[in-house]
Amino acid sequence: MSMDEPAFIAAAQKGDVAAFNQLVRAYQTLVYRTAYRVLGESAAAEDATQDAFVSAFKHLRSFRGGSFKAWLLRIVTNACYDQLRVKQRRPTASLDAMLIDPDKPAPGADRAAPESPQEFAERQELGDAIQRGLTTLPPDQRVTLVLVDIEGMRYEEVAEATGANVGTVKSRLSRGRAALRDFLVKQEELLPSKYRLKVGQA
Amino acid sequence: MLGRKNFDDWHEWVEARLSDYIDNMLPRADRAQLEAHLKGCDRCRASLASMRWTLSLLKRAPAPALPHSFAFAVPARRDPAYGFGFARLATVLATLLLFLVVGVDFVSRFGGGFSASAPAPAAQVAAPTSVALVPQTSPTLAKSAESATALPSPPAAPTAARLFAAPTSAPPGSAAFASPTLEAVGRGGAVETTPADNAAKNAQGTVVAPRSQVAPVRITVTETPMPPTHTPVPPTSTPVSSATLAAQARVQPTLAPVPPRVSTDTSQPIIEPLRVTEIALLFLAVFFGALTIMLRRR
Repeated sequence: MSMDEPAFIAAAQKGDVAAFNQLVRAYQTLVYRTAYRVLGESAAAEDATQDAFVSAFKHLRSFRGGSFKAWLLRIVTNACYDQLRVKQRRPTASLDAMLIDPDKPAPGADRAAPESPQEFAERQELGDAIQRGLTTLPPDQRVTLVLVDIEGMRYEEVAEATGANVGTVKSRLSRGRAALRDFLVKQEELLPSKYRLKVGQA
Repeated sequence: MLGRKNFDDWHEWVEARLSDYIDNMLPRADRAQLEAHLKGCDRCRASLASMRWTLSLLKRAPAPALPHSFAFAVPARRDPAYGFGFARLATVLATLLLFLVVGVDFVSRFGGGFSASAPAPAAQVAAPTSVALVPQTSPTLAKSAESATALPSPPAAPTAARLFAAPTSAPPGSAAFASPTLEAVGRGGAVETTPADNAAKNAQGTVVAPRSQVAPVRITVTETPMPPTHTPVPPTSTPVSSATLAAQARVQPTLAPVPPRVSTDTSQPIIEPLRVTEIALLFLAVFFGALTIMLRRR
């Protein structure tokens, strides 16, 4: 995608929907994943994802180059904030279990063998615990944590995506990590043993 | 930050910088301070360890499955383009036809009935006009027009025939347009009205029958005797042409009895359809034009 991306963007800016769909297919997993982790439930994440892509197509002309990923995620975070405002409820009110993508084993998995059902279930538990922890954070810390530590984006890109400067990104990251850490430490006993700290995962 | 700190301050200071330290974002001096503190502080070491653990869990967290594709439905472009092209073509055709009909109408009404060279349809249109003008010029000509238009029978034909003076008339087209003389319209062009003085000229056989002839009839005003009504007109006309004229007379039913007013009346049946046609074409042009604009915007 990175090779053809400027061409697709240029065509999509002229109104070529098929070209824009190529961009959608390239980024929709990232967008949905981010929206899901920020919003904590699939229905809101779908709405935010759909809204984000519609808005991206409408405002595509305002993209002047640079990181398309960061530009798109800026729209996604705004869509997520809109969803949070609309929902007007505490994120911890209702959480559905996250549907894990079975085709994507955990990064850093030691074995090439497919995940066993138990491993799958354990990862499901982990995902749910993390999601619960994330939803205890204020939205800006949550977004920053998701983009840096789950999506692996650089500070500068995250700064662009959140409309903040790098110093603010660092600050939100520090506080978010600490808050999540405190939550998970408290919940540690509920985690599958292999994920627990005391097992030696320092 | 260097300076005097008590033990508790160090914990907070270190705690606030653990995240940057893990990402290698601390300035060198701060990093040295932090590592020096960590060596002697179990609490801060544990804090660092738990933070690293949190980050590793985040990396190992499962990804939510994409519920469905968010790609847009690509609109079908063929149908709108097809409709748009048709609407545009219809607009152009309606507009062109409208201009044509209006032009013809205009010419027939204000052109005074051009003779010979006018095209047959125009001539036919102009004929009534010339008929209308005829009475204005000469009563005798009116009569001749009358008789000419009332030419169902061969006897009357000579009249018309002699009105169509082919030889004496200049090339139908040019002469007709050049001077308002009643020129024979052998080619089927419209006839011009003639001033009174031209009546004499007509007497020589250049009378113009107040109606056009569709067929390229070359009527030579010669032998055929004219009916007595054509006083100024010598009775000359060829049998052939008269026959043709008779036929042509039958072709022009609208030019039947032509009193001065009648000619005006006879012109109306032709103008009215024109009016209707113009209005219809105008509506069509506007309708398809609007349709074109609407389809274009899609």
